[in-house]
Amino acid sequence: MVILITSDNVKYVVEKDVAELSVLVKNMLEDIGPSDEPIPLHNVTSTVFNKVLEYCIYHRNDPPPSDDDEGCASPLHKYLASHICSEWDQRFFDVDQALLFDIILAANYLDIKTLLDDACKAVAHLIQGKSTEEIRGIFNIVNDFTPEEEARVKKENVSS
Amino acid sequence: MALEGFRGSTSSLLDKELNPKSATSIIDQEVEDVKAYIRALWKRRNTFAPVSRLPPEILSRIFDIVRDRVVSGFSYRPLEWTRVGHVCHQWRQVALNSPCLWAKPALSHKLWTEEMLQRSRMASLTISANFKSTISGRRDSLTASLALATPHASRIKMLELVSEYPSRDSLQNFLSQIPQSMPRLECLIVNYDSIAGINSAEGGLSIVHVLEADRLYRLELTRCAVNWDSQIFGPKLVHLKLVSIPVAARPTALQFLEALSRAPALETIELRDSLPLKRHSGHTSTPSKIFFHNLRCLAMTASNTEADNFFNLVSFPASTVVRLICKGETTAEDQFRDVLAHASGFSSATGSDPGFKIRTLEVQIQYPSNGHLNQFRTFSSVASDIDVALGTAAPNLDLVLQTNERPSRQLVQLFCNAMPLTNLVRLSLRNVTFLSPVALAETFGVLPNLRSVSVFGDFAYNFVLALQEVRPINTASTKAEVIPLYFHSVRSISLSNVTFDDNDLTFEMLQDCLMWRYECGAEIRELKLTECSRLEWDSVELLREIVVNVDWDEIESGFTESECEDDAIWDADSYDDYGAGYYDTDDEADLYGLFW
Repeated sequence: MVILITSDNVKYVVEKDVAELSVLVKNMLEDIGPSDEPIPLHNVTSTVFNKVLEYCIYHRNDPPPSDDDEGCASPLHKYLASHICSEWDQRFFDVDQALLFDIILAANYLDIKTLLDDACKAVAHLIQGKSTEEIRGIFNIVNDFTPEEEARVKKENVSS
Repeated sequence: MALEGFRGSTSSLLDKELNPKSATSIIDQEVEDVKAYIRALWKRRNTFAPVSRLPPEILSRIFDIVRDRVVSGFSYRPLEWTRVGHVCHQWRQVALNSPCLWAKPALSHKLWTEEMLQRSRMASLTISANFKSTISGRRDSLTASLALATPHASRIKMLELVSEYPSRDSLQNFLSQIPQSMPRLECLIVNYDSIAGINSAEGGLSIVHVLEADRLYRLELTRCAVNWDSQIFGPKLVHLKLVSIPVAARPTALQFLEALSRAPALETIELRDSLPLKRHSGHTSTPSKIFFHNLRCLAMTASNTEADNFFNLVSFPASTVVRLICKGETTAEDQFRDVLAHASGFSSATGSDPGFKIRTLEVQIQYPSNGHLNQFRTFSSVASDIDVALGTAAPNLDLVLQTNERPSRQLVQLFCNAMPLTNLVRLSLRNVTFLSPVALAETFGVLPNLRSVSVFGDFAYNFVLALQEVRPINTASTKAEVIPLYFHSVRSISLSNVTFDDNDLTFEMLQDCLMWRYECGAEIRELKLTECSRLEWDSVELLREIVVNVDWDEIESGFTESECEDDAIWDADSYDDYGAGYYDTDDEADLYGLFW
């Protein structure tokens, strides 16, 4: 078992194989060797870590992500790879945006590639097929382009 | 700064006595300042949006996913994803500063191709152009875009070109201009579809001048001429697919062997009508075989001679899945003897590979218009019909022997004699109507470990008779009181799509057969009946008195005229779908598609 402490000082006792889905934790464990010393996770709160842990426990037996360069994969492979296929994953990422971005930041910090990939796919899903105005609405963003940028964007819109 | 400050300034200006021109100019300037101020406020506001907490590299990664979904999703609006650069200043900056995002130029739009090539800076490119079924205007646009990409060819990582005859020249023009050395090229797919045969002078496309591609790991060429002595066959190559290589562009056996020997890491090899036509016959000694340690799948369509030549040059572990369509060249019944001799060794142990025993065999005959297809599939596991249908069990060997002659007992016998079937447990037979009961018994009925047999269709008549055939008595080993039957160890049979009527297999025949085997000490303990017609509940109950386990799907059909008519229509449909009509074209891809 591995002891992890989040930034708000909540202690978690996690099975080693689950904890080691995080490359950061795995490297730290290798560095400190056999020890009961807790590992601090400075950039992750307990609220976010609960979600991260839920994901890691569910996916603990998944095969490791492939290192294949997606650039050379078949179109079908790329299409499937860019979509979240599992219903469980879809439900998992059906959270408010703030938490979704927190999960992404935590996955990035903890170096959990599959979680980062899947969370990015969830955000991509919010963007895909939407107009510019709709995207701004979804992410609470306003148009802050300079006139030059605006003109350029308009030109691009016409040619696409 | 508060907006009130602007109002005050403007008011004070208006109080002054200025000429209208100066006042207008000052006010216009102030309006611009206010606009800039508002933009600064909007920009500041955007920094508080939750999404702005994401670092640029992650935002860029999300944009990549959006692009891949649109591009690989065969969207009607392939440039829809570029909207990510139209949302706000920050998103646009992230997009413009991500060269990889633009590294898959949209060749269907010339203006965008130019823009994307520029924005991609020095990133490795994916160039993908499909000229197939493209209208003339669009073809021109693709051609122009390809011309724009030509100067950037040295940074292409993936090149995928799909074309047919009308685009041949423009495509060949592009291919001729790509450099001899492609240092970043990892994947090369050129698929030229032409109605011209592989013997035609048209000759397909040529990439013979490409000599170096050290990183290439995937090579797929259809109707293309390649330089067999080049380094595109290199140590990184893991996937090789060559289809319909024009006869004039095929390698000699030695060239082929040397090209393959430069690619020892190959994991999948697919060769369809691309093999050397002649056996190696140089003055040098016979070259030693290449062993592909990592080969997982070998798919081939070749003539009998070509296949024989290939297997003389190449070997692989028993774990390799082999899918072979072997075309007969003569009418001789034993013409496949050499290929079958090779096939018999596929399951043998090699090095650390323990090999495998054939546990399941499926024999199926197809009758397309351009030949007869004798399909033999072997499995290392005891695979049920459902396993096979659902694909949960995959064959180790999928062998199709294509002949112009009608299928014969001799060919099946040849296969069975060649292959190591001693450990066969399950047998599945479809359409082997040419096998008489005696032939069936003598071919399959002597396999010592055969436990289960499935038969499909009205061929069940011959099978039921075969089950009753008596083997010649060997007085030395047979107890006098037991009548030795063929299929002696078979305990389970499955009959599917069988019609029980007076013109064919009758229920009474089946009943007698089961009784006979019981009396001879070779009883059937499991009987499966699926989608059989003219079979009633009461009849099945009678079978249950003889067989311990009768598994019937309880479908009672074929007793009314309308059902018979439906069956007739269904049969006709089946014929259209899978019979001669299906094979009206002699396109090998159709043949291939049927089996793979």
